[in-house]
Amino acid sequence: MATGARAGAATASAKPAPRTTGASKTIKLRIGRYRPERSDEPFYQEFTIPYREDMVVLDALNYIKERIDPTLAYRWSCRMGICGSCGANVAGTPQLTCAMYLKDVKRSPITVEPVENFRFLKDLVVDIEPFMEKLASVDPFIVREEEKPIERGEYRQTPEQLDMYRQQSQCINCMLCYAACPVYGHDPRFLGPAASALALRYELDSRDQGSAARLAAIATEHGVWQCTFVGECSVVCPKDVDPAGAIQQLKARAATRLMKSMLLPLATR
Amino acid sequence: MATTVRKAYVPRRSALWWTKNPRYLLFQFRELSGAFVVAYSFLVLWQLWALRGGSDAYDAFLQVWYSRPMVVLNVIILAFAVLHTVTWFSLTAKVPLFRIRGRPPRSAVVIGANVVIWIVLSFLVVRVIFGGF
Repeated sequence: MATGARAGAATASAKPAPRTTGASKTIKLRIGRYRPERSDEPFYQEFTIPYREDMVVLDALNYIKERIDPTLAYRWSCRMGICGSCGANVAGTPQLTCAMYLKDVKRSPITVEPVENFRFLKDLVVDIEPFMEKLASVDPFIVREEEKPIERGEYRQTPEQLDMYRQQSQCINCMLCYAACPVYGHDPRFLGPAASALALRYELDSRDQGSAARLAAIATEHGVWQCTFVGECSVVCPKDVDPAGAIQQLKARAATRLMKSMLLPLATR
Repeated sequence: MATTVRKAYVPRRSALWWTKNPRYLLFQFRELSGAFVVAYSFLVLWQLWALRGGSDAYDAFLQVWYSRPMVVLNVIILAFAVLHTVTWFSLTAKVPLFRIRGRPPRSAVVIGANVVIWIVLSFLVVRVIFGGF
């Protein structure tokens, strides 16, 4: 998986210095820029930088910022596919820039743009507030009907119960799935893939008791029912969360719950 | 809490966004396939209506039905119906209804089982229509 590969690269400082492929070898990047203080429209700017085979796109951005243009704005933090902050459109595909090797990009110059379906704030930095609001709307935490005191111990879980939601719990909120989702691109009111995947993560958690309110919030016109199963969110997901599958599971759960409430009104909470 | 957004740029989406990625293109074809499935149901209704009109009306219908444009249309409808069916099967694999030894069945197993059931049922329908039972 890309993340694992990048994690290896991130610890490369303990290994011998990476072999350069020739002192004069360079690579050209075409960076999407937006500087609201100077222009109303985004534009592209090309940079030519020294190339090493072990460079990821984020290394290239860091090189540009440190050596060529300190005004270049982009988000990043962990450099190892965990924080989910360095997403960008690389050669037309949403990617974590820390996990994408320059050598694996087949086009030249390598185009790096802000992820699609979000408003641009500056250069590669986009407005993540709409996503944060959607995330909060699904109660992405364990809901208990009644909290027990700390001295009574933790809510215990078997490994099998953990396995039920392990896949969805890998989501790092990188928003690449939103960038790949044409439904969200068409209608920003759509709850979208990551928030849905995280909703399912808590739906499947044996400790959670907030299913009724959560399902009511997501089984709406702009909730999971707006998904038309394009599936591209699962293709670009760097953590194999499969948000497209999560949404279909939520649809099934919501429909089952509705049928139960109609047939057995006293049985549903 | 809303972020202060000054002069945020709202990117415009191209009307041809679905041509940028082969999977988007496949998605559009899948959505379009619904229209062809509906079209076929109208053709069947037309056939029933002709059948109700008696022998002459049905012969007239068959003359049109076996014409080259109609055969081409049927082949196109069949292609879209297969696409519709296969993509539906791939969707069913996303919703595990049961678990085997604590794990959901593999997608290939679910899709494969659907395809087998589809072929068996189709075979039975063909046998019922063309005789043998």
